[in-house]
Amino acid sequence: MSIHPEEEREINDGHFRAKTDNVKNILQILKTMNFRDQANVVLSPSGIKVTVENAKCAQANAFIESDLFQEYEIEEEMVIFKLNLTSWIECLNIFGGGTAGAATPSLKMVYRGHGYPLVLELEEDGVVTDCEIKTEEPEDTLDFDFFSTEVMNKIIMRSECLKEVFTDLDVTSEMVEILMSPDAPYFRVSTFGNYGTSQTEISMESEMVEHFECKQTLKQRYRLSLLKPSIKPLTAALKVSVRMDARGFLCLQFMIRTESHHICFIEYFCCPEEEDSDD
Amino acid sequence: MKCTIGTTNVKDFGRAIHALAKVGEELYIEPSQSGVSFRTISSSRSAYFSYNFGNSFFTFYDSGLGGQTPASGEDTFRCKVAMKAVLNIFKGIHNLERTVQRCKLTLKWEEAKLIIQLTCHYGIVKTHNLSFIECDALQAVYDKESCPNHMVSDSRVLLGALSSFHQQTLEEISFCFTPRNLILKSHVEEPDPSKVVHTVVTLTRGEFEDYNIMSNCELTVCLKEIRALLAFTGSTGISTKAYFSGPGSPIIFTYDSKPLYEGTLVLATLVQKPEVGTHPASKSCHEPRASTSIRKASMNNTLRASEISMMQNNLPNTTSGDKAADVTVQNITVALDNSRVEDIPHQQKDVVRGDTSHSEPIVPLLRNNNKAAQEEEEDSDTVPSSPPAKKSRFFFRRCFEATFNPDTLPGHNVILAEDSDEGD
Repeated sequence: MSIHPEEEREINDGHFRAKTDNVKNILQILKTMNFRDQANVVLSPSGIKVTVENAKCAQANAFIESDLFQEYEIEEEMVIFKLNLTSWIECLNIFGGGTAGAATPSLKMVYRGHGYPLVLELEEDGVVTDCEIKTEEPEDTLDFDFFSTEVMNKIIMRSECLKEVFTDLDVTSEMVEILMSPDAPYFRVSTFGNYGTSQTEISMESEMVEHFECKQTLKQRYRLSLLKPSIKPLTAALKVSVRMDARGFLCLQFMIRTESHHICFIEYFCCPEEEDSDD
Repeated sequence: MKCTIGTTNVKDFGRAIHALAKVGEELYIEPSQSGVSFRTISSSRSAYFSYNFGNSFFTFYDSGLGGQTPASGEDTFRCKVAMKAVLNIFKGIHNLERTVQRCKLTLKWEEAKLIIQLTCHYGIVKTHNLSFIECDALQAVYDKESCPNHMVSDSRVLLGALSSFHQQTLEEISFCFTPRNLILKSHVEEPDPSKVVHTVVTLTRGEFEDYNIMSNCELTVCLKEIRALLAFTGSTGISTKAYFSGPGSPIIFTYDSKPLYEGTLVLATLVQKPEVGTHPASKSCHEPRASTSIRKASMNNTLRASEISMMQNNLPNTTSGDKAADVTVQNITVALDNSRVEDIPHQQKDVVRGDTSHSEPIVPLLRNNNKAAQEEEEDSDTVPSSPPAKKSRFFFRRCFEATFNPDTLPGHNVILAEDSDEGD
């Protein structure tokens, strides 16, 4: 949130500039995060971090590493601003989704500093589009303080498996209960809908489960509306890591392979619903 | 009751649920020694759809009835659950076969719970606990043996024919059976025929596996239920049989893949037009029908009595008109319970479903075919609904504009000599 002196900004034409020959790499990541219009963007030498929050209870973070870009220059250690994510996605998608095999537009992004817009330059077959997206003062983002030391239970599985569970959740249920346990039933997702209750269990013996590390039986309820947006990155992901800390906070980490075979990560945090513990 | 469906049959079961879900909002489950029945009835009670799964359909079957005979009444358990709940479990038919390894259905009477457990690939086990309500038997009263007409068709032939009709907007379709061919017509209750698309598809009797029509008859039924049925039979490739006697009496569709399952769809037909083979004496059978219909209407307080009586007044239905009207009601009624048979003359409900203003315009068209004097008389009958009558006249007039082609009427070549003079 550091604000830079005026003169420093004037000297450099490009405070931040990045180039990629395939805009879809970034687009694919950002699209999965678009459950809210506003996003905080942090630019740093290691890459771009995009944060989207939902009702101060859930947070999605995407990390787009600098090696995803052919050119990546930044002069500051960290630059933060807020922008309209929907506009950003629309601009990046200005040449359309395109079918497989079609030419993919290249992208140049420039951000000159605090108060300046984010400038996007897309080019496809000699057709150039310039977009400017107004940036805003960043908002404070939540720190979920999700230390890996506190993580009690962790399961890594192929995303198809969890996708099947999440897409079938009963939409009439307000809450989703997630149970992780070192003993059977290991991993259970329950809903309590209008028509009855449903439980889905994934056995640790499943060929889809790659890593299973549960120390303690934890059962927590989450709002379905908060958990729902995680389906999008889940659908795009290869693998997902489900972690729960001692406080019952849930962290879903998605591993996504971009079109040019880079690996990106999206984290999705979700607060548990406060309630009387009945363990 | 406990039963398990193996991976090969899950898809058929899912399809059956989908077909049932298109008809009704509640799923009635009735286990017996020989298998389980899944039934539903449309909210207007104009359609009854039933599946009987034999115990060989299941890899494991225990009716939970012990040695009792299901006919002993009180010991038979029946329940109903919300269709939507079951449908949600079996949504995504194409995935079912791929993902579900077995499906276990358990009815726990003590807890009033239906437990559906799907064991899927990837070691996923989905358990759904649905609460059910105990209920009376749902049994339609019909007798397909007594129907003089029947036909057997490859479901894909019918499905292909129906695909020509507008998918979203068309609600009803008329089947015009003649001994030689079957004409499918869109049935639209729209006073201005130029505003809607009219579709006619003719199938010759050679297209059918069996085609046995004793007399011409035209049946108007809801398209939605037929589509539900054909979606099932079309995808499984089994033939559909139809049994019927005439307009106003139900048409019964059956199909089976014995001994695994059999399906029955009983559909109310619209009492609407004089049958193509109407004899001139139709007037004479008007009066008794009108009176009975009024009486029937008064039995059901949900019906707008005047509408029905008018409808039936104006629409001589000679096929069933000669029979005692009460018998007709008994035959076609779908009832929740025998004691309630009289309450639900669903055929009439179906008649009423269309607005009066919509149903009316058909009438003058028919009157035209009859004698003008009779028209005058009947006009006096329709006095209570004068606004629709205006629309009727409007419709009537358009019929005689240059674009009107009498050939599009069913059975134009068969009926009413006096008409052919001016028309052809």
